[in-house]
Amino acid sequence: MSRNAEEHLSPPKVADGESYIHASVYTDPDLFAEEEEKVLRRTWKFVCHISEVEKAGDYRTHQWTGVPLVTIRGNDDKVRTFVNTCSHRGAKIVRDVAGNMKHMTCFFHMWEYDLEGNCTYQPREEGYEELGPTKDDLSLREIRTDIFAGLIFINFDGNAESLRDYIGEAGEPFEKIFNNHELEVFHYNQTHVKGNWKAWYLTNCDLYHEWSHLVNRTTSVLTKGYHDRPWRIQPNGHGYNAHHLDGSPFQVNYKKYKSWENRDHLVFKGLAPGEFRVTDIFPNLSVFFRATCIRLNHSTPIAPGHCIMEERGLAIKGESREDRRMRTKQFVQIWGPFSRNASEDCAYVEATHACQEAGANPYDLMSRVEKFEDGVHERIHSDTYLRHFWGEWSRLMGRPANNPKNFMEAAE
Amino acid sequence: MSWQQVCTTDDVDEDAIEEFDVGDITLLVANAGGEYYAFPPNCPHQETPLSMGMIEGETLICIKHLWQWNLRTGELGDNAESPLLKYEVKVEEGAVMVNLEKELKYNYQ
Amino acid sequence: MPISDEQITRLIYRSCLRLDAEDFEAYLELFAPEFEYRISNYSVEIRKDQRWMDVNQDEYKALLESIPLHSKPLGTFARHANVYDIERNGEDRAKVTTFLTVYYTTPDGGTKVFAVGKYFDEVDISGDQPLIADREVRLETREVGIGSIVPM
Repeated sequence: MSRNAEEHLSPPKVADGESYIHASVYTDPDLFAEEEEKVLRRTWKFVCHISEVEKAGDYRTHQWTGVPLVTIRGNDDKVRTFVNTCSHRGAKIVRDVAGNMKHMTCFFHMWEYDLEGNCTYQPREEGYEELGPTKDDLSLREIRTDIFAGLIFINFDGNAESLRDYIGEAGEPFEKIFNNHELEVFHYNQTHVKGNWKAWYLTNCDLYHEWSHLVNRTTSVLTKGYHDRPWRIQPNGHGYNAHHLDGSPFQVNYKKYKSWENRDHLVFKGLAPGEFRVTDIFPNLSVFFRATCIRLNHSTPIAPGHCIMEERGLAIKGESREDRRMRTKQFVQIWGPFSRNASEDCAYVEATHACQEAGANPYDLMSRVEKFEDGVHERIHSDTYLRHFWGEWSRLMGRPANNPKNFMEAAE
Repeated sequence: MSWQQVCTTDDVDEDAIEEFDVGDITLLVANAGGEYYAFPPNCPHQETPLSMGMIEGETLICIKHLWQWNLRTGELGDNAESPLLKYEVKVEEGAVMVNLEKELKYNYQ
Repeated sequence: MPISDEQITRLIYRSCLRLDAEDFEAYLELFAPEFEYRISNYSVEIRKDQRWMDVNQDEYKALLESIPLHSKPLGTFARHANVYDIERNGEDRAKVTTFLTVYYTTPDGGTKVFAVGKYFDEVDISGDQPLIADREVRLETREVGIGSIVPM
């Protein structure tokens, strides 16, 4: 029997009210604005890899919650992030995406700032002697910036806990491996996705969706022990899915996909051949291992139905041309704009958003519990992490994700 | 039609599945470790072409929902909820002979 | 008879038409044995050259054959090519530079530019027919919508 309107709009019939969300969390402009304040400006946000700002003067521009930012390495070797706007008329100072510079010069009136954010030069500076201000009052606004395992993060909240404390044990699956090598970014792409940033992130975290990818069905889902792997839930909304319950690695059988080889060469130190791991850092960074490949994936929210998704691939600095070529080949088999999986993921998020935006699907289910005889049900295809994410989101927002705007009460 | 030659053993590589037409009947022949099996072209579940499926040992796997069957015993494996129909097969001097007395069909809803 | 410029040009155009039609079998007939195919660009963001696809003959064949098994974009691609230059390198090889625009028509019929770039081809002209021995699709466009499992 199909459902009528009333049945369709009623909350899902589930035993636990925390196991679904209201789709407005993906579409409502007020919630989006509030989320910027309460979630995105109070948590640590991944910017880029340290190799992208390797030398003094190397910079990378970006934005977060609409604020233009520049992350730059100073002459003292410290990586800082500044609001990328001139203290004079507010023009964007650094306009390129990436590069190297000795100082930052605003192109409007040629004011100059050093790499530490001090205002160091104004043409005909004496014009401010009468009324002020002085250059000392005009330095750039700095945003907290810190580095964990080579990953640069920022936080708008000066009172937030340290990055290391924030990540905590969620860094366990990747920190050591990242530190085993000198890594550099060799792959980059960004995509404007017509979907909500959380929907993008949670597609990474919803491992039940591996059923959708031909690659994952053939190389992973069929593999012995695939379904056994437990979610490891961590404070602050983080989590990871890595080893089997007994601590042994999960090894993907890449050879099962026609023409592909198994990944047993060029494996990062600390991983087993073919090993897969994923770590999800709240609010939106996913760190993937696929034996020979590391992918950093996050997105920048633009509007409720628009985010810019970025993919980065990490490789070992100084490896031979042949090794790099092989690693690249394997990376772009699964990730990147012409890969077998990433564009499929984009399509899922866009298809979902189109329905949610129209109000066609009022609820989003996260009630999967895969039962295991040992009593540990928080396994790969259970919605354990999704519930954890939305719990953290609800806590920060002060609103339940299943009824964020009191729709039920308003309707009565 | 009863016993018909569908192909030769060389026509189907090991662990491969090939499609053949004999008269009006379309069927698949799989070579699972040197043993030959013949069955209707689509999965009993959602009519997914099994020609795109995989052979692992004696197991046939449909690529869509990973329904699995043991080709030799006919036993249902992981995910499979209904049986695979099979034709009788015999190999005679390199010819793969299939009993096509009656076309095997599923009752798709 | 040596291979003419016209034959080489027609080879490039046929590769576009056959890929547009997703007639992968006929498309692959235009390639020489042991060919390689790459999609590359320069990333302004990481200030490096990068490859978004890098496959040999067998890998490319398997990739094309598996497309119907994937969640393929529902629209269609149309390639517009202009052969800019044919540079002969002895009697066996020609380097061909082709300007490429790829349009994407959505399922509801709207068309937009998907990507702009160039084909840099090595064409084997030693036989009766010219064949593509190496193709690099060099993209100018770095933001290709949600991407595509169908190559360019």
